[in-house]
Amino acid sequence: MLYWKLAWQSIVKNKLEYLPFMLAGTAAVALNLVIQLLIYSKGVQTLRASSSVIELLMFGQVVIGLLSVIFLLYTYSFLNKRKQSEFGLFSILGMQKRDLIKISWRQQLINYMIVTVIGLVTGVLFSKLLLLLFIKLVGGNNFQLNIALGAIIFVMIFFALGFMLLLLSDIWVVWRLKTISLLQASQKGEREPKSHWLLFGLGILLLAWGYYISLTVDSPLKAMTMFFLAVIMVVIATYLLFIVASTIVLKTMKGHTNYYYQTDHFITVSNMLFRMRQNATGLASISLLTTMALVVIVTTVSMLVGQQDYVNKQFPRDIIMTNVANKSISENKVKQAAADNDVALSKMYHMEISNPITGYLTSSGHAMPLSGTAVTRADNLSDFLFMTIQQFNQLTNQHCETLAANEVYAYDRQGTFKNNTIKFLNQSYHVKKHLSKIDGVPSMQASMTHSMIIVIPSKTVTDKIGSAFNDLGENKQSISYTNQLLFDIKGSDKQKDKFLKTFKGEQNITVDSKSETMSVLKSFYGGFFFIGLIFSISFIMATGLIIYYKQISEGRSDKKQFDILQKVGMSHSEVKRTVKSQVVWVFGLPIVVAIAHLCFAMPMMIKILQLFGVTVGPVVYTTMGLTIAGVVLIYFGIYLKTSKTYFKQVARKY
Amino acid sequence: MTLLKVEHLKKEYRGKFKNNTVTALADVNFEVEAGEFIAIMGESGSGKSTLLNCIATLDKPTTGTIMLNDEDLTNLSDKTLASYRRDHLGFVFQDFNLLDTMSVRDNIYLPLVLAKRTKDKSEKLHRLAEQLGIQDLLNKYPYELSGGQMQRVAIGRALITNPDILLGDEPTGALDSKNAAEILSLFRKYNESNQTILMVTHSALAASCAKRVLFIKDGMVFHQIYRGNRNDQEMLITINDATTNLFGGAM
Ligand SMILES: Nc1ncnc2c1ncn2[C@@H]1O[C@H](COP(=O)(O)OP(=O)(O)O)[C@@H](O)[C@H]1O
Ligand SMILES: [Mg+2]
Repeated sequence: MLYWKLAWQSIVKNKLEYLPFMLAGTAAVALNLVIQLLIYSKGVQTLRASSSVIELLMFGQVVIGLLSVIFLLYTYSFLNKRKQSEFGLFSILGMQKRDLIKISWRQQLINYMIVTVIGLVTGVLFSKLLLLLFIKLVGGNNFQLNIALGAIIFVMIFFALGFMLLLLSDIWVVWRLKTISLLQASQKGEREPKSHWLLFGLGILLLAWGYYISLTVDSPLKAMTMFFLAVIMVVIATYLLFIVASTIVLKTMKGHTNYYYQTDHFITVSNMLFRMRQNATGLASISLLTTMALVVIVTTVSMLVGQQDYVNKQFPRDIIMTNVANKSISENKVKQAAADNDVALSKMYHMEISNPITGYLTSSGHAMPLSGTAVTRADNLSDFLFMTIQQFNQLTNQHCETLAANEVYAYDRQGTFKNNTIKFLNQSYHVKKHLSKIDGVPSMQASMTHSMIIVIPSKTVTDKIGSAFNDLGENKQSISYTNQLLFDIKGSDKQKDKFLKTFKGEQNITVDSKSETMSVLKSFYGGFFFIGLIFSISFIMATGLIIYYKQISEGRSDKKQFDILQKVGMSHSEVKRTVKSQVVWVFGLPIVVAIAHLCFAMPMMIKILQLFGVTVGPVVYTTMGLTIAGVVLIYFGIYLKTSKTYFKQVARKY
Repeated sequence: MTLLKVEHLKKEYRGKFKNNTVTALADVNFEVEAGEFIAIMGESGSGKSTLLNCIATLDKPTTGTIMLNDEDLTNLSDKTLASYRRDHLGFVFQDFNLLDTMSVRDNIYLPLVLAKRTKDKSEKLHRLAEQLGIQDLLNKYPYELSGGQMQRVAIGRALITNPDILLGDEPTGALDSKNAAEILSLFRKYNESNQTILMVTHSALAASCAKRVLFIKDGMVFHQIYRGNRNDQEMLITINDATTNLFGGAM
């Protein structure tokens, strides 16, 4: 009973540390339970793309699970420091290591019980809400949630293991406990950090370089490969600059005596100089985590919003019928089937376009076949599709445009080809016009390769090119064309389904429907967005909590310092101001850096999103703005709470 | 001229439970003339620190008045307390209380910066540093100093604002005898140039440097000794006699 009492008392006494720890633990339990319940829910299992959605959720579960444990350990490390001195005291009073462990496991059991019980209850409550959101996002219509016992047991066991780890860390502490360490002075003086100008220069260089890459990258393909390079440079630069630049800036401030010897700056600058050294890596990590959260939100939102746009581009009409054997699809037959199934078709048109061929495109505009031995960079690869001017005129309703035998129009989807001539094999063609779009042509599936549509005077051009590009074999074949029939459709879902089924068995004909593609993509991007949202929210909450803990533990060690300052004549309002300006730096700096990173990453992210067929529009910028505002707001809340607690810790009564 | 006047000072500490009050000071009365050097002696737990903290406005008395320059310190509002403290009072503590994050120079400037009186701070600093013998330490940090050096820096910080009175709570308590003697001779030197000093100590040797010694017991001033024209040796013997009589020599 004594042990239980001691265990409980220590929790109550250190509630400043325990409360946020338990809050974090509760949130982690709830989050894990929500994902588990989603995986088990009927609503998700009956989705059209249920297997890929569940896979996505599983992935989310793994990441969130890992993060929960890491975070639990991290927040607990602050508690551990407190415990260490407490245990030191107990052992001076004559307790043995065995007794301390007896207290420890009771404490962990109490922690575990509180955290899981509250976490499970909130998790169940929230999962209903989140299931609604999730099903809405992935486009399902079954909102049934079943509280699966398996999910609850999984979460309980998972966290039992987590708290076991904490207990192990306790035992480790007790094991190494020496009463001497308690008697050692806790605060040892530290030398003022030095300015490292060389590292500072390197940091600036890397940062500028990383930003420069992002700002100047012109093709989406390059963006993809350069992205990682830029990220690595910016990450290194962030750490370097947080560590060295902060010292340099603060020392410069200190050098300006007029500025430095003012009440508001004096204490803050001299404190920060020491604080930054301990906190630089932590702050750099926090700002990178925040950047990550922001990037995840912006990309997933862009994809969610962009998917509609993407599908619309891929489907100029509701239905695309394709005959791969290049035989015209009989309109009459289709109309007959429509009449049989009571669906109305409209805005029908034919389109003939070549299958893509792949080759190298040199910077001088020479397209060459792939040869087995040549090893060329992937960004020289290009797909070419051909379309006659006749077809082009039909699509654009301009019957007047003509091309001479050696003239072509070029349409580059990525917009990087700007040459005046393009050469296929040995034949040069004058590019009469660079088109920025061709209406009515379904855009291709998102792919990594550069691709162009060449509008040619007649099929003789493609006949000449022949099979040279397609295969390296002996048989010469002409480039093949496909015939497509595109139209809108009206009717009930059932009728549409029946109508589409009539073509299922037809030879060489494939039918693609916009709504079906849309619903598959929606469940994918919707799920992606949901997971992204949960990730980023937990990232942000986690970083906020980390800062809170850092500040609280600093407040404890700063107590003596502020006590001296007040004895020497610092007033309460001055203490408050100093605390605020110190804390605002610690909160503000990472978020400002994160926002800067995000802004500079945007050009590159936009290019990469293009690769996935997503064009970035105003919605994305609005989301970006809202996300930033949201993050700032969350941080501001934690900031207010932190500076208040900090002030309470350090303020004297008189 | 009377600089400080303490009348019927009473301080009770209330415990968590109502009946659990500790009377640290029962009824303290005494006056300090400008230019005096006073030592207050008493057993551990006799309320010396409590008395000094009340005078220093670091604690509020339960009843009674403390007049400094005809101003009642117990009536000061919370807002003016801090500024009063830094404009009129100087402190030296047993454990020095220097800021680890600041150089010696900045530690001494601290009260001036807080009071926004940084005008000719460097002249003041250099004059003090020379008197205290810490010219070569100005760019060092507290952890690089010995105890005696730290206490000298603390004296510099206490005196840079030209306080009406210098208060010391066992200023030699954490020092060896050589350093303690040096600090006491500095006190004496400043007192000779008219600095009023009020020091709390339980060391007879330290008290023997003062011009007057007050003895505190049972929360009251029990006895006092004027130096008159005694030399240090004679003063020490007188103090020791008095403590044996008052406290049974248990100090
Ligand atoms: N903050 C406090 N709360 C309760 N009691 C206190 C407090 N400060 C001092 N006391 C009590 O008041 C008495 C006088 O203490 P103090 O002035 O520190 O003595 P001295 O400095 O002479 O050793 C002691 O009995 C002490 O326990
Ligand atoms: Mg004392």
